[in-house]
Amino acid sequence: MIEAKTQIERELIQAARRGDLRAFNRLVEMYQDRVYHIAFRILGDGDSAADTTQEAFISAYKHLKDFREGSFQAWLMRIVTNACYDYVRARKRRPADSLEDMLGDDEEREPPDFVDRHEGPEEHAVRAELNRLLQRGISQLPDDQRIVLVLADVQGFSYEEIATATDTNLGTVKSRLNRARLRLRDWLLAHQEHLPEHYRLSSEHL
Amino acid sequence: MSNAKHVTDNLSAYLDNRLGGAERARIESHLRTCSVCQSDLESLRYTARLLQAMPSVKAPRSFTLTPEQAARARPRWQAGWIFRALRGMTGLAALLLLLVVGLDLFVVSNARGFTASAPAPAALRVTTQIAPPAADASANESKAVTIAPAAGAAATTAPSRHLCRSDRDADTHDVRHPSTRDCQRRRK
Repeated sequence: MIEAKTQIERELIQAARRGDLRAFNRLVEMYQDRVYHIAFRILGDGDSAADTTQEAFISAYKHLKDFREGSFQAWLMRIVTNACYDYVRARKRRPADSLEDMLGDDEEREPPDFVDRHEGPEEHAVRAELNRLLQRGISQLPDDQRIVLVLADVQGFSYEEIATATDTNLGTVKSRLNRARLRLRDWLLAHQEHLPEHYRLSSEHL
Repeated sequence: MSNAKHVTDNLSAYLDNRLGGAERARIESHLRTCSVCQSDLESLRYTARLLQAMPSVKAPRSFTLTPEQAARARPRWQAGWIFRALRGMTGLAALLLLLVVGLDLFVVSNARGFTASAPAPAALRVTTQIAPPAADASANESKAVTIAPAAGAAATTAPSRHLCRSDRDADTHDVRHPSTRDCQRRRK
């Protein structure tokens, strides 16, 4: 099954490299949710994530010739990661639009389209609250740590894939991820009162 | 043992099962006796679990490229050869221009050396107005011919000038900026 998917993907890449836009757009459709999700978690808001996702696919189309072999996903993730870095750098040059300002008190940042059909409205509200808080915690991490944390824990990428995506080595990935988790843990502890009771870091976690 | 060096730096790699056997054994041995690192390990595990449970976010719209966006992106493998070809041709054109101007100047400076009667500004004007130095500087005829376009132009303009000059019985200065139309009018 995975083999068949890989084969289709390979054929689409070949066609896209010959200039077949429809083939490229099939690849976009296959990956756009993943790309958008990463951009959303790294950047913290939907508009920035949409802009960056579009930029990333344009960049991928432009540089498709540079993709030789190996994992197309890892190659694409590297492009997305770079697009996010670019976006963050551009945003820093406009201090008025800093991340903290963008997140601010807006409690509606978490997109509504993730309703788990098995949970009731109350449980859903609690989880939405938790996710908003987690997203705020992720957003206060330094860029390098935030990107590694999102790729590892939110996306579930291996250390090797993260090293490729961020153009670093395994040692750097390991230490950035550890520092990111420790820092986020400390941030959650400092904001315990905002965590839904059920999710607080109790003594059993400490 | 609890005062041994803490293993905080390696806790995530331990959690993710990314340590070799010996390193793993060292961490486990330390964890058995260090409540600080045990506590760190549990809180990190919990934090990672919260993150892993975060829901996926779906793309709010389609990000497929329109033909216009694709054209603007101008993939390198499509535009590349055109750019390379144009760049190559531009370089070649610049080189040819330099060659022509260089040869021209060389010819003119030689012409000045050989024909003392020809004043420099006039001689320059002759060459830039595609008139051949060959008209006066007979010593340089062979060199002038090597400049293909100027030589070609010379073939058509030179005879009328000679006629013009003979009609007007002019000196060499007048020859260098005659209007061909004037000559033709006069010939009529």
